[in-house]
Amino acid sequence: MKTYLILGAASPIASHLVKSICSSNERSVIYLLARNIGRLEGLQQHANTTSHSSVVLQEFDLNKDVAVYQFPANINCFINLAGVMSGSNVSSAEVMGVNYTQPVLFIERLMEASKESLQSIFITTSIAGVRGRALNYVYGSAKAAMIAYASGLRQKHHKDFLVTTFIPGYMDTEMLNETKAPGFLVSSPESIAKLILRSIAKRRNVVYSKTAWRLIAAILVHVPEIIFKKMSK
Amino acid sequence: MIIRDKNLTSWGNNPVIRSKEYQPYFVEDVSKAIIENSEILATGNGRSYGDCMLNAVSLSTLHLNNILSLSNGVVNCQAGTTLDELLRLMVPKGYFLPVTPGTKFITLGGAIASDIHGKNHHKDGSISNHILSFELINHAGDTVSCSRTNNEDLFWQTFGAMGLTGIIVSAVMQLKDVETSYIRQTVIKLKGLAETFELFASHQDTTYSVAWIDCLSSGKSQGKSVMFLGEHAKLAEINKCLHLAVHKTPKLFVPFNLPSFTLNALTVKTFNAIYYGMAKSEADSIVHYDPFFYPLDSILNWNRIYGKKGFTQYQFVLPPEVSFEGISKALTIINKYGAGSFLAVLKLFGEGNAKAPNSFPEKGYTLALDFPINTKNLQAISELDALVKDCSGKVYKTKDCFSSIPEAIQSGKFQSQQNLRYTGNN
Repeated sequence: MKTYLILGAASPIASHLVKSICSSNERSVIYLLARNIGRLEGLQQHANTTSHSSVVLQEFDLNKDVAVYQFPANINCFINLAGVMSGSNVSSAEVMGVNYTQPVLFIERLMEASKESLQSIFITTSIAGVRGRALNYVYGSAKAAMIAYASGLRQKHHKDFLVTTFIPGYMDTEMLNETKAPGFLVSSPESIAKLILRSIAKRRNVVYSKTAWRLIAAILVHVPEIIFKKMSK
Repeated sequence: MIIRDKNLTSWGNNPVIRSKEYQPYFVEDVSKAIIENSEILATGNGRSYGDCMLNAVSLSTLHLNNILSLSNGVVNCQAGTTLDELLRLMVPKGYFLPVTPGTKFITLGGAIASDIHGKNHHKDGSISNHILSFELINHAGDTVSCSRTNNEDLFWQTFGAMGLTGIIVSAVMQLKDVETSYIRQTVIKLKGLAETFELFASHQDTTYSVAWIDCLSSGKSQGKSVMFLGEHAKLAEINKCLHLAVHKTPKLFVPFNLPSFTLNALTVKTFNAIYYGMAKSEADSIVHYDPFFYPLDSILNWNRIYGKKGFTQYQFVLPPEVSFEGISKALTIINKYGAGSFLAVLKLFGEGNAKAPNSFPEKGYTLALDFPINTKNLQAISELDALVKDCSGKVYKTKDCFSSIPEAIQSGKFQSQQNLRYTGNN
């Protein structure tokens, strides 16, 4: 039996993730943490009806509840899907909080609470964290900090548990409502969910949503600053 | 909520329109989408044929596919759940769909909107006879629970209303108990239409009956057909280690649109000759439900064989007293135009559901035909239309794209290109 803890569960990717976990024959307990758990009741019933796994819903606000959250016993696998993009009605403090400081504090507490049972931590960052760009550098810097945190965590605990850094590019979610993106760079929520489980099973350290993004990241890093600074639209 | 501008088309690949599509993962988002727009239409898995699912603003129910409960032979699931997903869950537990069309890749919401029927209509009626209740979100964004005792007018009106009464978000359906997932099938080769009709009439007690018709044969052999009869096999009748085996995921697919001339009178004639030639009359063979009900599902994207121009279906039902004459005339029309239809299917309907005013099935014989889209075939369709009108028959909206027979439904916020076309007809 495996126990999952998923943060940012009210998302298309989490829906597919829960369904993928349930469709395997393994018996699992999945804790879903989200601000509005009412909308996840259908998913919970689906898991109970169609599989041997069970889903537990817990109301959780990443901005408020990190310090007081009571961790369930025996968490094996933690998956962080929470994130917020910079936008007109999102403050920079919230962007930094949700994408970096709060999850870091959460993971620090998780490691203490689940010292014995923890097998893997899956951290979602972003291609925006590979190099700061004019478009979204507050968001990008928080994600960059998260990439650095995951890297350090992996080095410190590589004998204890797996740390996977996930660096996605375009995902076919709400983030593409306003943006147009070439199809070959876009991953569906369903494929991301499968990728997450595959990466954990194969014990991968750093995962990109598509191979093309690994290439783009490599190029981004190597463009000389003198050129890069002029590349903004 | 995910919102995309995309090309929307049904299984017939014609017509194609641009549509702003909402893709909710949560039921609450459905109300939001309804309130935000002055016009909207729910879509399912896009297996209907004509323009009934097309609208400039649409809402895909495909991610609302949670199965909420299954107990005592009653399933409660969200509207975007496909029959494929339901079968995978229910068959191992000894249940089967009370009514199923020729594909399992449709959603339950779509099944209600079309009031689908199956090979057992003469015995079990359409799906409206087996749906116990559903939840629908109306034009104001409010959830309305509908059943035989609660909001019953809206309940019955919704069957066959093609989604124009609101967006169904979940439904409760009574399932059928089965001992095995196999069908005891009898295949009978018939030489003409008269024989086919006789056999339908004499097999009204058989649960499943349907006939494939060679619609390009003429003269004496007009209406030569292969009849398929079936019953759910009992446990004692089969010799399989897994008696409640679920269907497999199809592996074959058509990778791209074939040229539009692929299906012409000659190729269809050849196909029909081979199909009829290879069919063998046999009694009581045991087959799995998958090839019996869903032979075409074994090839994904089979609609691509009709080419980029797409195809359309034309299904009509004629009252029993004029059925024979009418269907014989219809076959003559198809022959005249060489409008080869290789999926021609004949079936005897039982009584329709009198409570459901928008439901299609009515007592009599129904013939379903498919035509690649070209001028000749459209002429054939308009001639068939005149014939059906003469015989006081009905045309199935779920498959229709060109008929002038169906009537529009009074509707406010929920609108489809098809309904607007019918409004123009009147």
